[in-house]
Amino acid sequence: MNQASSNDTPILISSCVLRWQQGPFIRLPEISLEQGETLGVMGPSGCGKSTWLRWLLGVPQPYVTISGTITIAGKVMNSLPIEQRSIGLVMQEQALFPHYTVAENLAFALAQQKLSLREQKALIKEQLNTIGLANYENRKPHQLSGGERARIALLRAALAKPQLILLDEPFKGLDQARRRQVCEWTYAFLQSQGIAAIIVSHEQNDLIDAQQQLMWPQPQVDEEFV
Amino acid sequence: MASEVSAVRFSGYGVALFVGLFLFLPWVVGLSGINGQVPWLTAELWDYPGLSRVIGQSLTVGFTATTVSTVLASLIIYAEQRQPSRLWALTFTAPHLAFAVAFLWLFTPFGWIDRLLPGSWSWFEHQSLPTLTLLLISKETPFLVVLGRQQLRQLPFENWLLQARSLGASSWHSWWLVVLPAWLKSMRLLIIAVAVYSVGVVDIASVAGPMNPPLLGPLLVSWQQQFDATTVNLAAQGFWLLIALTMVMVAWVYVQEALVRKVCGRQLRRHRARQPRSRAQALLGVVGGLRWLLFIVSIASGLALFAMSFAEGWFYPALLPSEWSLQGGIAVVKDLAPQLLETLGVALLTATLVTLVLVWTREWQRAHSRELPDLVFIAALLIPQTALVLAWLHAGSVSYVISSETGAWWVTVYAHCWFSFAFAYLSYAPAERAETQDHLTVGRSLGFSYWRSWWYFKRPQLNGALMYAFLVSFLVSIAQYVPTLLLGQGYVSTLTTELVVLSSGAEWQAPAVAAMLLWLLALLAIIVLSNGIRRLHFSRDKKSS
Repeated sequence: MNQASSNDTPILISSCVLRWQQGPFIRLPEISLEQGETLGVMGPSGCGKSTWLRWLLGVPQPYVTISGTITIAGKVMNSLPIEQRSIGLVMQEQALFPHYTVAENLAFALAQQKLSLREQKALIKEQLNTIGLANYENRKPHQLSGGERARIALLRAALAKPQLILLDEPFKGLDQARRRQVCEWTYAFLQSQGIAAIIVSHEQNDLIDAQQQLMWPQPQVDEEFV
Repeated sequence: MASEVSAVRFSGYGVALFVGLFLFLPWVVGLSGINGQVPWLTAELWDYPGLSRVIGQSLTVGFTATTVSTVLASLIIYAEQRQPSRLWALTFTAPHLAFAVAFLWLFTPFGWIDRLLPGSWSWFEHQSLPTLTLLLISKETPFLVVLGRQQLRQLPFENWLLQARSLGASSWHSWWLVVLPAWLKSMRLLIIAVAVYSVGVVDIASVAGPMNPPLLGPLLVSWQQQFDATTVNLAAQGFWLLIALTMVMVAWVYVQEALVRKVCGRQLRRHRARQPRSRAQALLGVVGGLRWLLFIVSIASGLALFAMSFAEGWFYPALLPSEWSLQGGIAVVKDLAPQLLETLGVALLTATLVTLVLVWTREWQRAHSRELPDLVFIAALLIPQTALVLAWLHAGSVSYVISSETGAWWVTVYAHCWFSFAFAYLSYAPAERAETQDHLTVGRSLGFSYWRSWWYFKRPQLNGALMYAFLVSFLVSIAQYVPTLLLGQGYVSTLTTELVVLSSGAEWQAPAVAAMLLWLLALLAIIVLSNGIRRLHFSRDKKSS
């Protein structure tokens, strides 16, 4: 079933069509992303951006039919379950598991890497140092600021070594000053890790640092339906 | 305008005072009863023959019923996360005692299953620890499932599952490692309520529990009921013992939660992407089997009660009675008519008062933007009923009031309201919290007073939840045993108190009729109120279309 469609491009999302039941539809252009490249998707709330993002992740969408193909490193992902797609997800709200410490949240992402406990601890310490949150291992998410939570959520997603990370309104809830700071940090971090990302937001300022930008198209209606 | 504002303020303070009194008076009275009135433990109690066995048995029932019910409820909630089954509600709503009487008739030696498959059930003695434990598990598991689903809905568990799976964990591992510890924490108060009830159980234990020696709950009640100063004094000392056992159980709930948290925390580092399909399938099979087993047992229990009520000459090992007699059953129903009316009257009054106080309590919090912790409202579930009632009996004011028939009746109704309120709050508060105040605010901006606006704009959104809270209070009230027995002082006799008395004899038709009436009362309430809820939804859908 899986077929190589383009081995040269790490991530290729064919032109997708989102169709609501007997109603409007949206046609997106083909998207290709290199390692470390970011795509910013902008559009108003409630227009289907998050629906599309969840479809990319592999979550079935009950009210929308979406057609299209997701190819990562030459492998078609459509039929794979979420956990085997190599696609990470970051949300601003409920981004971390609130009942676990920062270290436990990060350890969850390292499970597939078969590290010893000592190696895991050392890696978590080192990574927290890198993002400027040294000695945060034993803190619980509610003891962190919004910006700190955002950084740890992105670090956790990156530690699982995905090919692509989806960020759904990642800066929501942050005040303007902190928002810009976290935003800049996020782009720099993604580039340093060499991970491609799709960032969805309804704020243009959040996406100015993205290498590619996509303005979410207006819905259309089939002529025969009209 | 000024008078409108002061009216709102006055009603606000009046309501606060009334609700405050309603909620906190029993604690104050209980503390005054304990203070100096309840004697400390003496050698007289410790030397009581078989006390260590009494304690051991109570703790065994408490530990086993709490732990097994929690494990089963978590498995059921996992297996039914996408398609919750309504079948659990049948056992959940069955009155404890009625279910116990029917269960005993079905499964104990000389019972119906024993007649069908001789010898298979001989290990289920009529009054034994395993029988009581199994009964408690059968009743407490559906309780935790039904209320556990509400708790789960308040957690963003779908987002957690999504994120855990995007980090490479299978849905199985994501659930058990990420959702379970959080769900268990959100269930803490409910699990404590189960633990407290199980360790101090009186009603079912009086019918199905061991008798020689009994569990601590029934022993304290029997001591309290003897008109002998020495044994009444022993009952008072037993208060402390029951409180101590409750503390042990509460500690166990915390330990259980911490253990799960610890194990999950360790396993976080070792989760797998591959779904253990055989394990998941086996679990679904087990849960499906359990669901149908309990449903069939509940239906069979109802049928058994019906058969026992109208059977004559049903001797062992006959599968069916030699003849049926409608008159025999009806004669018992006539004898039980006063208890039936008393049960109905007390339960209707309780449910009405509880629903009113519930609405006031929630609206007071909303109007003052003060969300008080649930613990304030459900604390009654966290102390053994027997201990509280014993403490009240030692308060001079209570013993004075219940010495008259009217006083005993009102104190019993108050106790029913107070204990039912905690359950009703658990069912109503989440639904009310999910409703915004927008409709109410719009109503007030149109010139309606707070309560008129609530009635016309907010109540229609909450009709289903209100009816459900009314139903829960009604069901809890009809099942109350210890408060009715000890505070009613013989002036208040309900189907529940009568059922325990009747069950102690060798006759089986009268307890079966009492249990059947109790169950029918619960079913009738469920049918009437479910029909009401359905009609409301239907008329709302019709209006909106």
